[in-house]
Amino acid sequence: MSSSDSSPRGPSRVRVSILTLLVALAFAALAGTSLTWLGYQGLMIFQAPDKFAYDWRHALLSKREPTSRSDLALVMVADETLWAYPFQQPINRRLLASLVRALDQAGAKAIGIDLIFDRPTNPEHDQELINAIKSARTPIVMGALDYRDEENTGKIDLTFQRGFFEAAGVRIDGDRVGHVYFYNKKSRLDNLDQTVRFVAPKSNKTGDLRNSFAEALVATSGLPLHPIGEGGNIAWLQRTAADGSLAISEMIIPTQHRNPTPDEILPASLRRSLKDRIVIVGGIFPDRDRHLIPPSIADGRRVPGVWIHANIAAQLIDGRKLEKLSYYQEVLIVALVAFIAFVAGRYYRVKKYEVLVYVGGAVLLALIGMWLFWARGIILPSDTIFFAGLAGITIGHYSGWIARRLPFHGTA
Amino acid sequence: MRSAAWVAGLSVALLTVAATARAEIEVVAAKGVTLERGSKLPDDTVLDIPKGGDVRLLKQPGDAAYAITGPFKGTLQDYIDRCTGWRAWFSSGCGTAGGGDNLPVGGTRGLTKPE
Repeated sequence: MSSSDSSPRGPSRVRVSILTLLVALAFAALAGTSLTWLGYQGLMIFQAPDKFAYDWRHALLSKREPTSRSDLALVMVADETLWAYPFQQPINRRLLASLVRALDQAGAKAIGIDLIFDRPTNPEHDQELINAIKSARTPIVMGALDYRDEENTGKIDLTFQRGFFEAAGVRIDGDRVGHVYFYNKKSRLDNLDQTVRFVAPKSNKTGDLRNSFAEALVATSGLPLHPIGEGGNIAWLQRTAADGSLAISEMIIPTQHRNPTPDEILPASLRRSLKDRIVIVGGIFPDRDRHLIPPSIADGRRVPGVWIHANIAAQLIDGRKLEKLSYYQEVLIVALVAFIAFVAGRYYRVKKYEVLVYVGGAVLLALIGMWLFWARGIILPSDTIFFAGLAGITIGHYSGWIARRLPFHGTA
Repeated sequence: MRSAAWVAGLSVALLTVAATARAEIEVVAAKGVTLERGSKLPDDTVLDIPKGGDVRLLKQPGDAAYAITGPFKGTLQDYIDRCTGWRAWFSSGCGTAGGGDNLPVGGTRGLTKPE
């Protein structure tokens, strides 16, 4: 028996319909506020599909450069750079001094050093690096740690870092230092998401660095800087450009012996390719500083931190943004979907075809989410919307049954 | 006589244009292949990169940076043909694959100072 067959006729039917609409509106308001609140509190039980959809959006629809960018380059220290040295960490600072000199001679627009200087090494080598940084004509930006993670790591000592930077002529609270943190959001119902999705929010702790490494680097380079916003989503680049080249060129430095000269580190012929670029120096090792990012869903690749900084820098230069809906926008959309689903469940009996409806709804939601991401850079929260639809259809479907059991049913 | 000189001049001009337009590739790094770092090669050079090998190149003009991982045998243009558009998803060594399972290392390092 359909709901229309069972509904009372005449004035009472009108009253029940109005009542049903009021109930639908109340339900939609409740669903909109509660699901959005749960989402914001990290309490959505089934977040995995949302992250899955989000990550695939990045893997498939992130910006693809036409060819390698002409404003950024990575120069990386790897196993093949350090094979001749008796230890890898800290990276030999005489080697780094030669690298800095080579990049300075190459005419880079700015050099960013994404390495941590937390302890002394050979004093002679430390001094060589200090001299190389101090005497460089190219502005050099240092990646740095601060105290924001002390709650997790225990008390940390950054005395050496401060002294080293100051000796190199770089003020720790100046424009040429940026923190090297990324950000993972903790969900309250599952394990910490290991995927880097966000730039780190600004820290308000005294002594913490205000700017990220990428912000400091772009600002120092003189290129336009378009802020992303605190804790904003990183808008990734496809690793390969449309012509098959690397979107951000990567140069790994091999060495033949322990004391390579700047010319051996970077032959003159290769320096030309780094001229007028922001060059970020970092490490690429199999066991350190490797991170999952949303596009990793396609290939499982863990990218080095230096590549993430380069992506953030590219985003800051381009002014690309990925925007979440605001809290109230999400409440409205979730409530609207809940309302429509309730009415559809109540009057059109769509629960009869629930598999079709849910699968079709999920596909439609995914397609709309992909289009919004691709065309507008908007991240649609698919989990709250999907569950609003599911709850709306189910409760709308049984609302007739509930209404018939209300004391005033048919009394008008 | 004049027409012969004109044809000769045109040939020289065409050859010059062809030579100028011809792309070069510059070796940035090579692992598993004997290629000198910083050397320049004609862009029709056949690269024979074994499994585990890795060659980094700059294509000139433009300095587009390529990372080709082995096994691969062919020219840079062969790589580009194979690794652009939808074919990249189904070809190995194109930068869109190659992650897969990993073996995290359980070693540690830290900054914590004893109190």
